[in-house]
Amino acid sequence: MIVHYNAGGSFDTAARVMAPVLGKYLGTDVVIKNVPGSSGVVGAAELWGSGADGYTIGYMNLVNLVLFDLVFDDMPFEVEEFLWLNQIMSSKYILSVPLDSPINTVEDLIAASKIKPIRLSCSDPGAEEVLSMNAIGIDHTYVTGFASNVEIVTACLKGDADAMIQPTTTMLDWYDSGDMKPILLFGWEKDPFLTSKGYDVPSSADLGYSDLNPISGPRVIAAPPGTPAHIAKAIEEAFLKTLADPEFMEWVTETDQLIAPKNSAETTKIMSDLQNSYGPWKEELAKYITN
Amino acid sequence: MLEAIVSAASNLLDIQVVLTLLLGVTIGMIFGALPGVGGMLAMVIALPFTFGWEPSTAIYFLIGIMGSVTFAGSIPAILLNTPGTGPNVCTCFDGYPMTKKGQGGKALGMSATASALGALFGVFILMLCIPFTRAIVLAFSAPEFFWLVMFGLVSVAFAARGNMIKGLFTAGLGILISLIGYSPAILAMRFTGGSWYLFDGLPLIPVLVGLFAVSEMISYSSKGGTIVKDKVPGKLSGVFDGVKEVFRHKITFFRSAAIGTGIGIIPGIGGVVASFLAYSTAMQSSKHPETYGKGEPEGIIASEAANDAKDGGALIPTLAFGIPGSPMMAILLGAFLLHGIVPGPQLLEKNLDIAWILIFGLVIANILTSTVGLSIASYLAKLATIRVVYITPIVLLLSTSGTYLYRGNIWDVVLMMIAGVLGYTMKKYGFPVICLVMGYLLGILAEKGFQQTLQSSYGDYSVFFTRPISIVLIVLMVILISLPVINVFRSKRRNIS
Repeated sequence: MIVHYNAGGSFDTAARVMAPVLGKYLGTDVVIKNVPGSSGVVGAAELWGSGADGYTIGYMNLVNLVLFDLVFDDMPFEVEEFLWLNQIMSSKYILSVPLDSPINTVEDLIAASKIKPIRLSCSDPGAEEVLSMNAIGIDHTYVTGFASNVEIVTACLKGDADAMIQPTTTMLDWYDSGDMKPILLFGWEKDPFLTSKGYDVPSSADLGYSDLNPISGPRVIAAPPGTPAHIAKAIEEAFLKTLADPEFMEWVTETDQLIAPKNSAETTKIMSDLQNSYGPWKEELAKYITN
Repeated sequence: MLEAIVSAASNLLDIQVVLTLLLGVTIGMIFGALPGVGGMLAMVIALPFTFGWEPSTAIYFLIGIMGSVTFAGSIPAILLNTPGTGPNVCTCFDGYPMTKKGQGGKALGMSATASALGALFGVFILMLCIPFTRAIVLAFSAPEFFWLVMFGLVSVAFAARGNMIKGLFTAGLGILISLIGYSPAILAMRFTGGSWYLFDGLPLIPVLVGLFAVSEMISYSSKGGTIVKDKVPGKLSGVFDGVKEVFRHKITFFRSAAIGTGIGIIPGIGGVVASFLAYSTAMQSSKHPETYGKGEPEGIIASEAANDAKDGGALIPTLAFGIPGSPMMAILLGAFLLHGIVPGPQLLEKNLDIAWILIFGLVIANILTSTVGLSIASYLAKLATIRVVYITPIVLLLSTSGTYLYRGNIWDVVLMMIAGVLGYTMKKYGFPVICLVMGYLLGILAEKGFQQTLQSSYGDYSVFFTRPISIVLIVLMVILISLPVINVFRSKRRNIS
């Protein structure tokens, strides 16, 4: 199983926890191979070129691949042609500001941006930032080059930036610690997880920005194109069993993972939803990704 | 607080925990001492084995590895002129000349002592800072980061004493190399020639292994023979001379350990820069800078005290917010997640005992490593009498496999070889390799600090000069530059009177 990020990260950790459980259902050993580089492109390219015999699969960040495929013409793979077997997890994105910021709602943010552009901290402007700021109509600029979520948050806390968009899972801790507060969640509905923790955040659907609903971070299993259907089916089912396995669930509950198991048809739908959502903004996205 | 200390310490009464810590130290020493395969690789390989362990046991194990690699890495630096890990680079400058003079045992003794005491210093500062970790980390904003990096770049100019032009030329080349890849500053690829391999820039490990280990092996092979021409006096007394030597240079030691801790606190700068800054500051403030690079004991003390002290400093951002202070710390954070400990803003609130496990682990690992190091130093020193035809193939094999294992990309090995030839050629024609490395490490960071500062100030340049910490850094930089002038002026005055 190819993981297109470094060992030790959250992708890698999840893959390594899944591997032995998956192996149990597939009746074979599952070995992790980290192929990091180029925001996941190198790993995806390796998967693309691997034998389509079911012995090589990939645990991938779907958004990056869809995005790169949209913006660049010369990607070493075609996103539509991978077999998308399962979604394992999916992060929802949330717009946050420091707790002591005078901004409390999206309206405040729009108003503030008319006085001075809102500074968004990010590693580099991604689809979440570009889409949401343009669709809502917030005058903004970016503070870029941060290596991790934590650096992005601390940039806001230091006053180097005003707001940020990151997955809910990484933000929860910062809400609990009294450093940050949530403003807007991207999705079709309120997040039951956040609500259960006492954070009642309006969703993009609530506020009428439905174009922003598909913004999410699906982590999915892919197989190279041409993998025989019956093998793909077997792997898909093994993953569904893995995701319900008590051994795996123990880790999920212990470490508060947000799993979102989906079968192949659903995962493929998520992929095409993302493509549809990003498509109209290709030009705007390309500005930040290729220049 | 007390409860957390007791809880962390009570783990150490468990023989199983002690054994895993020992195991970690052993693994760390082996990986640290083998050129080309550093501590990161050791931790990546060891991480999966900790599945199913108690979190505290796993953390003791991993911190054992972290605490031991840096001293172990000074062993090949001193004996073979090949740093075991990146931060040992500056240890080569004076350690290897000492070996050539037959003082390898003494150099190892100094390195072991400076390492252990440096680590203790770093941990001591960490303990003092635990209540203020957040404030410390938040005080360092983009402009401060920029000035700190500039401080490092300015000190490169002194590194090439005697041939400053060559030094600056090489540093400039290093800065250009550092710009390769996707730049979040201008949101574009630079110098990649359309290659996806270069997207993330030139990776650190292959470049360092090539420049330092491979290049040295090429020059060994072209010379043949042994490293030390005469019989090495592998006497134990030499080793204890080394221990005493550290206590004779208290100022150098404390200054270097402080620099190491300070750099450790700032995420993303790293141990190579920490030891380099300590080294160049020691040289710059020395009354006899000309002895540096020719076997000056203070050079080893500066480098080793700083690179071990930085671990304590690097734990400050880790504990405050879960920011990894170094690449190894990033893997440690991955291990936290794996064991259900969320490294984030609430780590200290929810898992204060983790802080003390890290502190105890680091202290014990360092003391153990240095004790072992001291007791075997006189035997190790004999390594330098082995004919290089036996050393070269082993080191090359390790370098190649270590570089490949790092992320399984064969192009990394090709890059390592190119860097090796480049390093060899540079050494041959008197271009200081360290200047290239400093440019390569700092160039992109300087740009990042500069760009983030301007982005957050809406393009206003005055923020560079209005913040107190920035001003302190600027003043320190001016002092560092003018120190030799002041020294000359002082000694002239003394001569007159």
